Amino acid sequence: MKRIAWAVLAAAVVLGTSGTAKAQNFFRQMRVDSFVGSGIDLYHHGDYNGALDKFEAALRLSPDDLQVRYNRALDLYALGRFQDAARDFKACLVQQPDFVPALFNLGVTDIALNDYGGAKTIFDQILSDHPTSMRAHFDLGLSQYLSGHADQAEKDFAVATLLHPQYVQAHYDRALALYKTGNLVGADNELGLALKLNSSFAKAYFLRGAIRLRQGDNTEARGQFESAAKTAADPVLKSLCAQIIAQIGV
Amino acid sequence: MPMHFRRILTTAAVSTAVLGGVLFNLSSGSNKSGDPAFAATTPSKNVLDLIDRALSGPAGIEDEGSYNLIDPIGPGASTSVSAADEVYASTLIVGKYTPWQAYRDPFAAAPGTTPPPGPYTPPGPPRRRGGSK
Repeated sequence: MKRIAWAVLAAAVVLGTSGTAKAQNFFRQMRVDSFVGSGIDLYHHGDYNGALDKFEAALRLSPDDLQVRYNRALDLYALGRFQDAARDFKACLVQQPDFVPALFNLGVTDIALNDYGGAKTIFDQILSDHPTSMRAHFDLGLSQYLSGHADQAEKDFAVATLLHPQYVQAHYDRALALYKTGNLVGADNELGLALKLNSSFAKAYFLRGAIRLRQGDNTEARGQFESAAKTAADPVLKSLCAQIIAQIGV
Repeated sequence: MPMHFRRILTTAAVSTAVLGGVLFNLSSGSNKSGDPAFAATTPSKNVLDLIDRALSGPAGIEDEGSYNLIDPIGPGASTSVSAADEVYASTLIVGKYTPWQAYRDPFAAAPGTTPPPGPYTPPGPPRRRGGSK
């Protein structure tokens, strides 16, 4: 009888302990979720420092939580702390090597860190598995352009425009890359497509002005720079347009 | 040297000079009208500097703007699967994220629908007795 009583007591202790552990886990996860929820809300409202506090608190409770680390990496990027963001994205990839969003974002962070070689490797890696990834083509184009390979960049932007013809930024970037390689006619055609999609695209008018100027059509160039000045929201671009118009003096 | 011979020489020299000048003018004129590159007045260095400054600055390369990163994942936001889809997509997919809802009320109506009628309905405005008069 005594033995049975001891066995029942031991079982009760074991069950009670495991129940307590489960309850503790449950409540800890609830707190993690709460921190993450607040963090994401703050992130989307632009309070990146507030969001960081929440993600840090969540990571203290659950240091191996991949999603929390990923969210902290995004937040660090938004705060301009690119080295720290890259470290977190890499940690995510160590934990889960096929976590593609972290891989992609590491490539974007490499661009911010001027590590164009690293970025190109990542986007090439994504494209080797998914050759129709529009964003990988576009970002590979950015890496190529920023590392001084306008000719290579033009090819990647061309693919991006073929995959997503409504992507006005890709048309503009392709035009810029063509301009840099000296293909003024090609650049002009691409700008035509960009302006068809967005008729108030100041940068496109500006680049067209530069093309017209190089083609010797000062009157048309002036008109394009005037359109750029009219549509530009950026005061620096407006000011540069005004200075160029004054210099052309048609 | 006889007089008439000297005249012939002078006339020939003048004619050669005039003809040369005319031909030179014609050839440069044809270049100007035929090739726009010749018609162009080369933009001044100042203008080219301003253009280069703009193209490496405010008129420079375009990125995805606020969508350059694949955004947060987790319950209530984008799932890791849809985030991966966003990377692989052959078109631009952005802004699919929903607001975080960690503790959704299981009895709450789904977004965009009206709640089903229950046993309790909130009191409406007080009704006037005695008809419409």
